[in-house]
Amino acid sequence: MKIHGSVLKVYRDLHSWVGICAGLLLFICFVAGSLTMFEPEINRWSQPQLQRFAPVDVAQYDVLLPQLLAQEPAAAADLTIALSSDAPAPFVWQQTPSRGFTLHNPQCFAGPDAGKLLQIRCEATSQLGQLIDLLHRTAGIPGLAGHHYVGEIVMGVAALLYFIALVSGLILLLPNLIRDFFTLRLDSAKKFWMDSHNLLGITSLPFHIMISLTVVVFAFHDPIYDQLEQWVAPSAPGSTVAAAVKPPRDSVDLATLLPVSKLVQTAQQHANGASVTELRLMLSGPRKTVRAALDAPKHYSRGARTGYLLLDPFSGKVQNAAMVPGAQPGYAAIVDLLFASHFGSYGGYGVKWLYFLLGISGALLFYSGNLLWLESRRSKQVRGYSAEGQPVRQPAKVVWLAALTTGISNGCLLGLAVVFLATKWLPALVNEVNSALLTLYYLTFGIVLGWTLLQGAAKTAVPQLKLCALLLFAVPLSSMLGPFLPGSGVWPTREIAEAMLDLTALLLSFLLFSGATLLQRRFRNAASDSIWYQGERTLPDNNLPERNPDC
Amino acid sequence: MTERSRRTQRIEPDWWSKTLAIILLSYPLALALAGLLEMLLPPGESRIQLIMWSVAAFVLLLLAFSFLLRSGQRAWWVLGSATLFGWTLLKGLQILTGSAG
Repeated sequence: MKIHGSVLKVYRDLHSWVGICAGLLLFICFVAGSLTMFEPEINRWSQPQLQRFAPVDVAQYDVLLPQLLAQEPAAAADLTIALSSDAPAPFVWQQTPSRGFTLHNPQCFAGPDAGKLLQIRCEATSQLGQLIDLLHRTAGIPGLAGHHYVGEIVMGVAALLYFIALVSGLILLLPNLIRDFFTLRLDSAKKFWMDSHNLLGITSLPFHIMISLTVVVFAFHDPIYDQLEQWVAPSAPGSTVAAAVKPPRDSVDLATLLPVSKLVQTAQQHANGASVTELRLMLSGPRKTVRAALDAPKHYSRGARTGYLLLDPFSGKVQNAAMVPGAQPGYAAIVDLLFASHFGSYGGYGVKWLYFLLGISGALLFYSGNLLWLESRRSKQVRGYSAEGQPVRQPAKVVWLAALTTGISNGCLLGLAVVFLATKWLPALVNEVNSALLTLYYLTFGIVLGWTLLQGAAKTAVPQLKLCALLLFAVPLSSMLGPFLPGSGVWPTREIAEAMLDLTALLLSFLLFSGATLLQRRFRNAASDSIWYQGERTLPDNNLPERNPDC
Repeated sequence: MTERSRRTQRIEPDWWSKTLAIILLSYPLALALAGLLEMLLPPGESRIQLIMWSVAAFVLLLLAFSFLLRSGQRAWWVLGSATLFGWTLLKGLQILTGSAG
């Protein structure tokens, strides 16, 4: 396909700019996002104790819930009634109700003891899965703006740039699409990064398009709804969320709540064959509701893991059935499909692993994009112009971007490795595991980034990768040997899913280590005009005119 | 290829003016397009949600492809008139069908 040279030129510049601006943030979100595919598994892996209270029959909930609400009426604001047998307890809630994850907010568990008496235990248990999800959504950028995180808004903007990068990248490839797709040249660094960048980009393009669209919606749906309502469709029936909200009940009489068994039964009737895995009682907002989570492996679902059905907790009336898996009415089916395309919630573990790999390959896509930028902008040794073997001074932007690229990506990887390892050892040492984990992540990220900026990418990349491999190796090692150390508090691997996590850490550790060794060999032989040149760059190359690329 | 057709195919970067036009006009134009789409789609459950998604999709497509417009001036002209036309059409149709609020 022929495309005019000026079009290619404009889109090449555009591709570089948006790629450089968004790439590193996206790297963090994609690595963490890959992990969130297994959020529940990671959460269970991170618990010293899997189950606080044994599961009970549905009929027992009818007796236990009134007891619980009599003792802890505040729990009704947002209470999870867990129905699956592998839940940590029949009742779970946060001590201070909050929409998302908050620090210094112990989780409370309740269930019957041996004598069938309701017991309540609140503890600051590890929430590793939620922490990684937070990193995934915000790229680690702290701060709240309204009920969104600042990081989510930043990532919304990054997603706009990311889509421009996808389209511009595709336009650049169109003239030689077939040839580029089937080539992987190993003879020069630039060609290698170019070919692998193209290969990763083309093979995962549909995934990337869906991710960018969904992220824009996740970040900006509130203002879009507001403006649609204000300017576009002011009187469309059902256009506003508020229209669906019933007048608020002023006082809530907890005694008039329907029994749990009745609510489960009603939910099951409208579940389209899905199984009800939990009920979430939400009585703090203007709309009192109980949200049934519906697990239906054969259907795609609205949520990251399940579909939903909203019931009135007092009358059992259906409030919203638009998110029932496989029975979404009207346009809700399309909307849920869009959600599912982000969450990978449409094909069990197979799709989850596929999304895990797509996420990692996405991170590699952004990383290779940055390296490609560097390779095409570094100053090259010109034969016969400056003396062979004399170091070439690289332009400042190349030096800085190289350091930022390896510093931020390795900082994220090392931070996550530290957090996983610390999860196993911290519960015996500190009370507030989550604050400690969060601090450790930011500390590691900061140290690695600072180290890279001080010493340059060439000298730090290999030791950082090896360190990361070592930390990851220590994760399965801790699970195996830690329990034998008296007083370590480390718990052994208890389930297949935990063994899978340990095994994945081991595999990643080997991959990183062999990658680092490969790089080390390459760096040792790096030419003096390479970004990875190991010697000192003390000789400013004044003879060489500074290359000023189109940027 | 003649010199003239070569010239007409050529696009100018005009980064500042083109980018500004795209940033400022993509969203209002996308809202109008979404409004028109809503008039086309038969009523149904969760229609407004799909329309909200379409705003995001329109914005993304406009952001990515408007750089194909030949110059900054042209970007202002094309996107500006499309926005104006889109909103006039939307409001006109809403008045005609009596659905304006």
